[in-house]
Amino acid sequence: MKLDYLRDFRDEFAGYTELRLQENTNIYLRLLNGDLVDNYKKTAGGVSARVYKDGVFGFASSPLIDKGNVREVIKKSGENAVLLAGMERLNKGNLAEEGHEIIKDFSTTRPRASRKEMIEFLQELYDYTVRKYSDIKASTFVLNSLDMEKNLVTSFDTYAYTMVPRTILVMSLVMEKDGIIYDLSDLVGGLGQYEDFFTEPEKIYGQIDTLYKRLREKAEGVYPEAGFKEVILDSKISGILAHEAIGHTVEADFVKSGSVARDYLNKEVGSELVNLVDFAAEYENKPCPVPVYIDDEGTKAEDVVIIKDGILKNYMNNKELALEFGTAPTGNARAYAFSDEPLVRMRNTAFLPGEHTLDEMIASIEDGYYLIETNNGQADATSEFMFGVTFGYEIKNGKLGKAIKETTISGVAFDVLKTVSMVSDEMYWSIGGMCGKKQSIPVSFGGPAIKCKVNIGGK
Amino acid sequence: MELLDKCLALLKEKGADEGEVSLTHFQNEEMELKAGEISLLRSRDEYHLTLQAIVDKKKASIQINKIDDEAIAEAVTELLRNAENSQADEANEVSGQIQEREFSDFKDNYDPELMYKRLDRFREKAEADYPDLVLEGALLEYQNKFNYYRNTKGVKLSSNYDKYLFYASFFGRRDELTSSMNGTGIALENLEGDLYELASLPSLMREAVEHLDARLIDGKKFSGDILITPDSLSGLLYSILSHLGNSMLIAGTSYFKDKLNEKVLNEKFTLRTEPVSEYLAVKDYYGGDGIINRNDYIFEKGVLNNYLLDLYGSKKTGLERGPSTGSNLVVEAGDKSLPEMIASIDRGIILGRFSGGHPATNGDFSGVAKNSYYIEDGEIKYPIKETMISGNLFELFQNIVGISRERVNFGFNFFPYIHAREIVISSR
Repeated sequence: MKLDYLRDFRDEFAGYTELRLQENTNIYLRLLNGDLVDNYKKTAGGVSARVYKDGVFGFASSPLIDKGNVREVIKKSGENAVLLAGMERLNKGNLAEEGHEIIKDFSTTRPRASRKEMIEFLQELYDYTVRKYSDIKASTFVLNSLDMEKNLVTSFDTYAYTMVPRTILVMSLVMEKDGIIYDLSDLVGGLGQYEDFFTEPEKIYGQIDTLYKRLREKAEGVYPEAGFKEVILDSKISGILAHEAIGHTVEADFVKSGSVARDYLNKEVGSELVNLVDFAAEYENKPCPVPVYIDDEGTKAEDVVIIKDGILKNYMNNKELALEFGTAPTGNARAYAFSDEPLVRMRNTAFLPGEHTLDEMIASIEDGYYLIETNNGQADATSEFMFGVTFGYEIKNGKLGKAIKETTISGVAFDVLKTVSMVSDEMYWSIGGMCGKKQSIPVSFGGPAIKCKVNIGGK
Repeated sequence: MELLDKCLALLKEKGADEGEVSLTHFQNEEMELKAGEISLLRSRDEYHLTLQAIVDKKKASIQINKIDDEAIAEAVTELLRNAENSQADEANEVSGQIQEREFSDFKDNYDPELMYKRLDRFREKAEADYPDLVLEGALLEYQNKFNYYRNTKGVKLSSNYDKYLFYASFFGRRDELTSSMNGTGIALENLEGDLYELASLPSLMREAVEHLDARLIDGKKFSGDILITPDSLSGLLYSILSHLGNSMLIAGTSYFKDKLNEKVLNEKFTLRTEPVSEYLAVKDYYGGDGIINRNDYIFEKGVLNNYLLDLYGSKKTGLERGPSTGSNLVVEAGDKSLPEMIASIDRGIILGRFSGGHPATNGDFSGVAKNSYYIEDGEIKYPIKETMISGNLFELFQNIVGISRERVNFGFNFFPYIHAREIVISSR
């Protein structure tokens, strides 16, 4: 086992050291209009070491993992730490050094599928689509899997092995109406490998039908009216508000820099209906889409209650920032590749459900929008956010109206949270999130439907 | 290179009709400033060995980051199995443009002391000049990149060049006021000068502080002019260029389908790809398809001159392979100065940064105008906040009324300011 191989270097560490042996494996298949235009596999594995000295880190990595190279990586990271510490002279204290032993393996227990079976699966989805819907101008079916296998040994006796896979099928349909092109996407999958989700194509047909129906409604839909509007963020997209708009501002590195949330600890930041948690690994005793049981600094990961009943309670941190803020590390230090250093990252960030039904929420709006699908989002130091909205409906006099065309919503998150007046009793986890903060890394976010006020772009 | 020849021989031996191999070796040294402290020195040594096999017109590729015999043999066996289980496509083939070329532009050597000195000086000057500026992060990276390409039709290419990359992000902070994040990225050939003066950095830092006093626009919604800064242009341009690449042209959903040599954008707009440019630090000598890139026009005076297809996209669509796949973009300078352009605007905004959703396939877009300013009667009035813009991407580039003489060199792109009309601007 690779973890045993890594243990042999434990006695060679001089001072605070993390030694990680990691391999990421990515399979990407893309069927565009029935043609397999991408068919590749990428494997990137290697070893890295990070050494802490007087407030700075030295880091080194190599794809070569023979004993000589592992020793060279440990030596180089130490040299980098000494060199930088000598120039920068921060002279900070020691990091937390509590060891843990954790093994978590989410590999599939089913027989592995061949590449041929995967391609045929995509082809069956395509055949179903063109057979049933003759007015589809283009279709794309993408199968994207990422297996992250990590081994970690530290100078403070953490020994960890984790294998966390994620597999996603993205389905996109394109339609033309009156010379204008419209598209819409949806995805299925989550924590697990191909075999855990995609054994029977028939199980996906219902989702293709819904996607087609919505695309048709969108093509016949109306532009939203630009302005400050009352909206319902569906449970499928409220999570992006949790992640982008709030989550980033309460990452401790950003707080230290001076994000707007720095002044808000233990203050009211939302209505009392707002509860927000960054779950480490499990929700209601089931694994979250991106379970983190131990982070890449060797900290046992804990849930972080960010907002409780509208009050900002905690930030997410790593060891360095826990030292700086005088708190315990939360286990949010995560690295994407073997050659990446751990950064403060979210894991599974979600609003908690409330008591209203979605129907009650729709019935409560005179003139607004019900927003259901998003394709991206960005946030800011000010907590001002924007999300692209790819599908939704008007709400007129308490009833759903016409579908809307593509738009964007924005707002200042800590203002928007104060406008939250209803929260639904559902809980939906998004499965395909990639967060780009220096390194792009899988994250998940979730929540119930939320009624609030935002700016909406439109004609 | 012996390793690549060995890989090709193995591909043929295992049954590949055609194959290609590319090896990239990166040596990266990175120094990072975070929240005002230079706290990370990171060394990386990486290999990307990419192999592609075609069997009976069926294709697969695999990338590994090991170069030992055992890893290569295992990868080739899996690759051939995946290719055999793939789908036949007549467009699958490797480049037959037989060439042997070596490109080299190696200039400098890694010097951690000099990197520290430059980063420290940048921090010192930013803190001294702008006490209300928070330097959220800055990263200075030295990258030495070697690439070798071979295919079974005899194409042999190699390149080696080094460069520095510098990224900085910052915002204003005074008492409990915080301004929007701003920043930029620049590629450099060497570390001869101060980082502080590079590209648009001085004005971006000043603007971050000015935005502590940002206001909502008076009047909630209007149709006005937009002055797109060089920093905010790239996102909009890449959305345009996505219509010239493989995916949308193969799918038949590109706005520019069947419009080659037609005037599709405003005649003031000329965009070139310059993969090998004298004044850009980044080089893109050849594509992953083994075809040498060339400097050429993408749009010349609004006329679409070239698509940006690679070899597969070219074979699939029957159109020519592009001069590049969209690297190193250069927008030609116009004939107006920036002050003249501002003076010509009755009512509108300077778009400092666009934070928006991906534009729809039909070009409709909307998003937030970040780090932006309100203009009225030819004058910059005040920095704005919580302002959204919406319009259509293609109409935006058709409604250009001016392009500036001033341009900003990012080392990988070279962009002016662009003035266009008729954007919907709305404020809370």
